[in-house]
Amino acid sequence: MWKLVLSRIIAAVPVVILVALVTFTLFRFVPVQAPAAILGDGATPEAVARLQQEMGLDRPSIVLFAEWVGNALRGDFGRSYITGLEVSAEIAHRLPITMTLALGGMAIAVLLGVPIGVTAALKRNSLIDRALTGMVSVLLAMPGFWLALLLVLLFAVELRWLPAAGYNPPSAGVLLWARGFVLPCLALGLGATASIARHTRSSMIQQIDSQYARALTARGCPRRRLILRYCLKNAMMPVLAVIGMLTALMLSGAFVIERIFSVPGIGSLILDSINRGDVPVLQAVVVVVALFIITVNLLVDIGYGLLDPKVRPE
Amino acid sequence: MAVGWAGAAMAEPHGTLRWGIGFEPQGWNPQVQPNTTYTELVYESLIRMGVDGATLAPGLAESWEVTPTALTFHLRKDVVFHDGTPFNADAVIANIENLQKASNRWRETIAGISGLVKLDEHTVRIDVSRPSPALPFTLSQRGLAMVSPKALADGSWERHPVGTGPYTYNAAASVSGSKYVFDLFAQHYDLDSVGPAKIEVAYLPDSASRYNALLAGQVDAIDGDATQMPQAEGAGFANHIWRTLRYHLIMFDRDGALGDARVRRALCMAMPLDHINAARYEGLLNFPSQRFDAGDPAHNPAITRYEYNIDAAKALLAEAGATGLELTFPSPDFMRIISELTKESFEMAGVKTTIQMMPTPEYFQTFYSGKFPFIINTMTAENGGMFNYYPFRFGATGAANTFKVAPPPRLEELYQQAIVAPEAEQPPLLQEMSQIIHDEALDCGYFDTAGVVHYNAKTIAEIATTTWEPSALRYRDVKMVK
Repeated sequence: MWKLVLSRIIAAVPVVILVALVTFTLFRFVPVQAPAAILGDGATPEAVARLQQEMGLDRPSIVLFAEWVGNALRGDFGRSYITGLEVSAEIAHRLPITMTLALGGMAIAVLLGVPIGVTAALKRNSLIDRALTGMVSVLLAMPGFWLALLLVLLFAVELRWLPAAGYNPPSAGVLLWARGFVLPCLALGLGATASIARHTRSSMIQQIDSQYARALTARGCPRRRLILRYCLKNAMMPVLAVIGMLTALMLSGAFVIERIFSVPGIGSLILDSINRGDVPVLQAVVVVVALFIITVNLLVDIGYGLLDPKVRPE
Repeated sequence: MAVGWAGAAMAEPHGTLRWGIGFEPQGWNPQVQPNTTYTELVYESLIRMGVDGATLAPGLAESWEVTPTALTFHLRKDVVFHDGTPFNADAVIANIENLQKASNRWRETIAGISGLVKLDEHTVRIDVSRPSPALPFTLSQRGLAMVSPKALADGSWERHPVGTGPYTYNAAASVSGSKYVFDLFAQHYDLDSVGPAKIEVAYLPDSASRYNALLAGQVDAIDGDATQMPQAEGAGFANHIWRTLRYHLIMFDRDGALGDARVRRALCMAMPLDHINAARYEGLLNFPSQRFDAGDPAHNPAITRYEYNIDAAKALLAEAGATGLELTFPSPDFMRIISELTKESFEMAGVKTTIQMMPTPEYFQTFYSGKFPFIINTMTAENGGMFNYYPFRFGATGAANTFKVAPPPRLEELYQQAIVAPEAEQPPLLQEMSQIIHDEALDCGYFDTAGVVHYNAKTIAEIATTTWEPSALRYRDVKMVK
């Protein structure tokens, strides 16, 4: 098992370096000049040129890249051109918010999606199956932002049970903090719920119809044991791959949901930084997001290894 | 000239104003970002702009005298900064010196200052090397907001604001990217005139979310949209409307592609103002005939605006031999509708027009570059009057004279006469300048956009705003329901 983990980590290193290089190179071509962003509206060209020199931005790109990587390895992504705040501090403030949103959404998706999929598979072609499959199809077809607006109108505007927008930190009270995440997590998680339920259903049906399941049934294995111990475990293999993919997608979905609910996560930071031309923040966030996705993929690979010994390296 | 002012007395500050807006603070240096939503709360200037966006009223200075060679300010004696530093002549000098060292456009606006003299603890004289009638207006603007000299000296002012305003920034209660809290400054010199006792600014970037937050009772007022007004009224909210920005067709290349006055007039006639009004602003736009309104000494009542007339525009272009004219102008996404309508209209007149769409930051860093013959935009630096407008837009070194085009000689002559003329003799000179600018079509296509605040009248008795100040309330003048 350790071999698997190690090999995946080693494989991730060049990916991270490549992402850093591509990110750095791309942002060198951004038409917004750093000194102009710092000096603000109406800065004179002379002042821009002077600051460019003072900041050392006229040095060769390779030197700047090496300096940036060296600082990044020490956790120093520099300061925002616009706010003057440390980028790493800003990411440290916002990343847990996005992670909470993504993990909360995924928790809802898994906790609802797997039981729905299993139930639909067990009650195949029944009224319950048709009702659940129909619900799943509606959820799949519904855009996340629209679902978010419907949830807001019902739970925030009409019933006033939950906030329509905004964020409270845990220091303001855990309940207050958690209330703010309910609607964004639901908006994010319900679409993924549908996806997981659909994959779980088809995977479970495949397992229930398999020869080993029939053989176990013929040998008198109790149905409950057959389903929970054998079929569900095997059915989870493809579902796990879907969960891994959805977690990465959920991050991009979280960016939209953050905007709709005005949650100050990484997605909002990216959008605001694009609007402000804040290159140091964008560079750092792209690398952090790439690291997050690489980590998720690593965890999925480890999960695979745990469920299926065949994928472990010899 | 001497000016004095007596503020209207109000009840003591009470209530919390919860204000939802689509902007977040971008640092606390008031010179760099146009971030008055937040800087208005904590900073004050020597002179305060009146509600009409034109009248200057005492701020941190109780009164001032203007002569051709100096401005003398008599400062309030009861003012302290949020960090306890007293506000006095030294603080004024430190702030102006700080701006003189800066690299932004505000420095140019005070280039005429030749000396700063402390006459006594609360009197300061600003000497000018040339007549500077625009300086009082400049001193009322965000670039000259007074910052604690202590914070200026230790460099902390760009990260944490220390002003003299009625509110102090509560960083501990604020959440970056979400909510910004401002507490009442108990040592403020004029607490009786302050409305809300506390202000919470919620950063809600999406307009639909802002509106939902208002519906859900999370905020009392939001920076709204003209298109949402009927909906807000139907939901029981009140709407406050005010004029925010004066847009116009700003022609830079007045020597090249737009060198012929007939071409410029043709473009003025092809500006689709009514279409823009209908498509984007629910009929709330105002179309002034010239840069300055009635009441301003430069307002010329004889001027009438160029009416929309595509056939006349075509004829003028043909007369000027500019039938194959091709023009490119930049546009940020938030101006897309206006830009598309303008392009369509110009093309109907026979001008092949290309829009170069670009992200907002790139736009604001590009349009001064001298790459584009014209833009449709607003320039708040002009708002102070002809003495701000003319040198900025048409002066040889003006920041907005991007093609460095020499103005018509008579225009320059009039400006030079007006700037040294006694105040009473200025209006005819300034009005003739307005007439030349109009006749030569150096500037046209004016339209004033409207800002809208949707608010809950059960919690807010009165919203207060300043003309030509978008996105910021006159926070201290807002009246909360008891």
